[in-house]
Amino acid sequence: MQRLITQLPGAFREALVLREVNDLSYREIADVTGVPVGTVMSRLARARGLLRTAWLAEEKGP
Amino acid sequence: MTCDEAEVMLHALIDDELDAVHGREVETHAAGCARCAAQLASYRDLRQTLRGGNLRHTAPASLRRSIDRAVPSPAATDRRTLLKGFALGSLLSAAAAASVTLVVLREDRDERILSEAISAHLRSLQADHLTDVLSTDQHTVKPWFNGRTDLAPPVIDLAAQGFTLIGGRLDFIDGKSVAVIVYRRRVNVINLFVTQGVGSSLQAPRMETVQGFNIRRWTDQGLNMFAVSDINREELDEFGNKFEQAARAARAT
Repeated sequence: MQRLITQLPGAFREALVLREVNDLSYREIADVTGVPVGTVMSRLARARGLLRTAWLAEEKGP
Repeated sequence: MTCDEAEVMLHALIDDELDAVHGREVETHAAGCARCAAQLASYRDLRQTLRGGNLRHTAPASLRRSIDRAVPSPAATDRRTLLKGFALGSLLSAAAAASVTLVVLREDRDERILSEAISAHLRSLQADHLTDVLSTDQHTVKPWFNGRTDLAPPVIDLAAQGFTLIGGRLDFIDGKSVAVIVYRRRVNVINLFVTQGVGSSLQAPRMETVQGFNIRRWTDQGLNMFAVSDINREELDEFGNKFEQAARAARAT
């Protein structure tokens, strides 16, 4: 999972790590990254979408 | 709610960032939509895996030691001076504690209310829930609030001044149901939140910019008004001024 996260684009990885690892709220992530809360929401959605796709592909195997 | 909207909102749902009303909306949508229900379950699984994945990295003790060595240690403080300082400090703080606490609490509350108003503004734009009553007629919008909220918000037609009334809705701020009057300036939305008994210390208009949104707040007739928009400060201030003038004129007639 760690490897899959490192493969995410920077902005998405940042939002995901701040939420899932550092347990910050959307508001706190917005403050830390200097973007509006709406952008945090969409970045998290994209990050999880990409991660889920990569995770499912990994589980299915080559 | 459409699937596209639910797709973003369901992340806010699993992160516990939605209020009860919007949380229910997403859950209701997912209950009737197999695709979104599957996504919700899948993202919950993913989250479970992430949480159990031991992703938090602890820096090695050697890093702490090298940082400690690199940062100069603070000068040792004489113990007697320190105690004297505490004695004086306790006298002052005992006298001031209550008022300081009140001020801090109120500021925290104001901050939270502002933050909630911005979140509500964002949700209104993203979740297809801008208006519960869609009308440019103030005589339709104003009575719609009757019986739905315990205050009578001033609903004013400002079309002639360049701000088009498009409707109203109920929202939640600080755990209370509040009235929201919705205007448009060109393509931009202005959400005017009207609350009662919240932040009653507010008097004169104040302009602020939070998270890139402009907010003008003021108090009128015991009602607290928060206008939130992404139009520029000057235009939002103009909106507030026009609204206040029209409200005064309406009361005088």
